[in-house]
Amino acid sequence: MWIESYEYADANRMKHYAKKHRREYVSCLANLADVITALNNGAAVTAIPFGFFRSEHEDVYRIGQTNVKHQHETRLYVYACVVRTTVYILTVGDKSTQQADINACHAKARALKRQLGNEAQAEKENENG
Amino acid sequence: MAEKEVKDFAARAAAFLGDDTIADEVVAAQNATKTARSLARERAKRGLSQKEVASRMGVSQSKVCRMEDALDADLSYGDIESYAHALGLNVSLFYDAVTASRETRAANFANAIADMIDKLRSLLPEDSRYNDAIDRFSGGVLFPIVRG
Repeated sequence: MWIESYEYADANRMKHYAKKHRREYVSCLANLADVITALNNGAAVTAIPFGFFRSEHEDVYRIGQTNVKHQHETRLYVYACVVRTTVYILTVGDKSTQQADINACHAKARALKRQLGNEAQAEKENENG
Repeated sequence: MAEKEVKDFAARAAAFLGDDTIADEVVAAQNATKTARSLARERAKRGLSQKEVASRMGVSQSKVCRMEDALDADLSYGDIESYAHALGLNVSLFYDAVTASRETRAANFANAIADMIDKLRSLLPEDSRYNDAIDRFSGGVLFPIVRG
């Protein structure tokens, strides 16, 4: 069962967007709910059928807003962890910060992967006594 | 997501922000696109691309893309039906009289379920092992609700 996690989310940035670009932020969240539904219905992360869901490589995905008039182009960045069936919400941004946001999300995703790898290794060692 | 799951999702979003008011907004935004998103999901289930659906419908790919991203309120019934036919699906309508009494609404739902059960029965073999259970459900649950 896939679920979202705010554990590694950029709280300050997200609170700012929730306040200043409310409709876009809400739309991105509603779209994330649709992504999670699709994943729980058996769709592969790479085969989510929605146009607002785009790969930014390294398991980082961008979720755009839809149906917002006079919109401030907003993107929610997530890391989809297949091992934990968890969509980690990382940050939110717009076009002006796009490249920096993607780079930061790649770094976060790599750190998360390393951490998950270490945890899996530790579990294995515990099992083996 | 089921209604409760959407509410839980929205509640977690609100808890993260420390802003209760956003939960209702997320639920409303989710509800506003249910039909449109179901089109995309049904297309994906059949392994079809937007281009293939567009070709079957005789419209452009961008039209299909716009339909899948649209608000339900902006979709025409004709477009939904045309899209569904392109996937080999029929669309059935159900009118929920939201301002009617609970009893009337319950009877309407029970009638709609009875219609669905008739269709289900027509797809099952005559000697289906489910027939008795279906009869019990219809007689024990649906009929009393319809009678009121």
